[in-house]
Amino acid sequence: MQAQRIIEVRDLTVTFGDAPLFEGLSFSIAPGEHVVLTGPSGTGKSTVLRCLLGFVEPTQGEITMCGEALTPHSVWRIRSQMAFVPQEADLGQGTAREFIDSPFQYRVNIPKVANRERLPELLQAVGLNDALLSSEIGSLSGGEKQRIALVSALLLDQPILLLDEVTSALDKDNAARVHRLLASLKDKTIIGVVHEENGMPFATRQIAIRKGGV
Amino acid sequence: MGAVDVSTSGLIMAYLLLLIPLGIILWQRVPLFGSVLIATLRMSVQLLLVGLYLQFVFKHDSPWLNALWVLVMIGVADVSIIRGCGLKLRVFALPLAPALLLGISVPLLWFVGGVLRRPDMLEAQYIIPVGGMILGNCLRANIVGIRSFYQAIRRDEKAFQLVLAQGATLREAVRPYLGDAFQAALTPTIATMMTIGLVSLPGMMTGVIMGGNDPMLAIKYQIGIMIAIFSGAAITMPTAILITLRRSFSPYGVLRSNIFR
Repeated sequence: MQAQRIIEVRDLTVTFGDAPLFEGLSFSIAPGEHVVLTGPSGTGKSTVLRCLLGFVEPTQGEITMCGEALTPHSVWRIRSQMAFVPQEADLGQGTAREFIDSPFQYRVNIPKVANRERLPELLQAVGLNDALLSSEIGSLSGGEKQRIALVSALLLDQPILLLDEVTSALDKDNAARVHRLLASLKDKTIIGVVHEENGMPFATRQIAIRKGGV
Repeated sequence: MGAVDVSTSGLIMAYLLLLIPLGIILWQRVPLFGSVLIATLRMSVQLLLVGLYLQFVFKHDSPWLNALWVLVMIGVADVSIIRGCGLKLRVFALPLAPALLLGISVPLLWFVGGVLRRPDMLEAQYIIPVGGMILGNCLRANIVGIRSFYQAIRRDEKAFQLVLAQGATLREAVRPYLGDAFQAALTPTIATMMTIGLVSLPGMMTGVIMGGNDPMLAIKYQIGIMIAIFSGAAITMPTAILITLRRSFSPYGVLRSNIFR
């Protein structure tokens, strides 16, 4: 049973200040599922992703990922099983190529250096040109940054993908390209957050989050 | 031959020079008049008290007393650095102290024992002024370096967390910020080394010359002290940041917001 759940969230409560953002949130996700978290603004969908990454410490509750409880000790190992594409892609400074190359300098990703050979194929899949790689991050549009962040995440080839509004800055055609690419990743567990209806059409399951939990 | 004494009337002359900048401040209506008077008063009282204490220390020249004075200077620098960085004293005071102690002791003892070859490395005549010079420069370098390190990570919070999400350890994630902070901290000292003697004559060299010594001796002292100052800053700043990492980041690698004042 345990092997069928790559992510398990039990009774999660996050409180900012005095008011709880959500309370008693529980759900589990099986490997290979493409799950979309939906709900009105301010219910804490992005915060759920940040909890899974260990960036927000819940007031109460437990998260288990890849068979391990998320703790200060295990979080570093668990993060190496995930790739994250943030909502407003703040990619730091430097060129797009430097951004894509930098994760491969981290000890945990060194064995994956050869994955960079997939870069031209992935750029094409998301509708970006090779020439963009030499551009400064600051000069890229929001949509280009989002796709560069997605390409970087996909190159890491982690079993879990966390996507926060990954197509929010894209036009219809490019959003469709990205959706097709993500839909083809049958071996990946994807958890996405969207605001607009049908923002993740390839999702195999929807988890609606509202104040108070699921 | 020693330095010429400064008489009481001479000291009054020094204070009278302040009338010119104070006049400019009043003329330009810059709100600094009170601050200048307070700073001048504080400087005078502090130096007077230090002078009395140093007279006592030099008279007894006890290694323990001298070391204690260096420790007091480190303690004061510790508090000044944390305040200058806009960080909380209770979080940083303790971990910063060993970094300062290491960054001061190594170049100080190297200079007194290795360069000057004094048999007594805790001799008041050397350890106190040289220690003060190294510490004073470390203070500036640390304020610039530590402040820029924490402010940059705070400003780039999202980009920093993305780096962690990409699999970086905390040490790997802070490395570029540490590099930038190191550069910011050491650049002024490097610039001083580049222009020393051309743009200004440094304090130690001036002191040795005014003490009636050969200018070449003053130059040799100054070369030694500049290298000691640079080394002190280069040792202290990264050590201080690496020691404080555990307190300033959560066990999940998130910069704690409550470390800032």
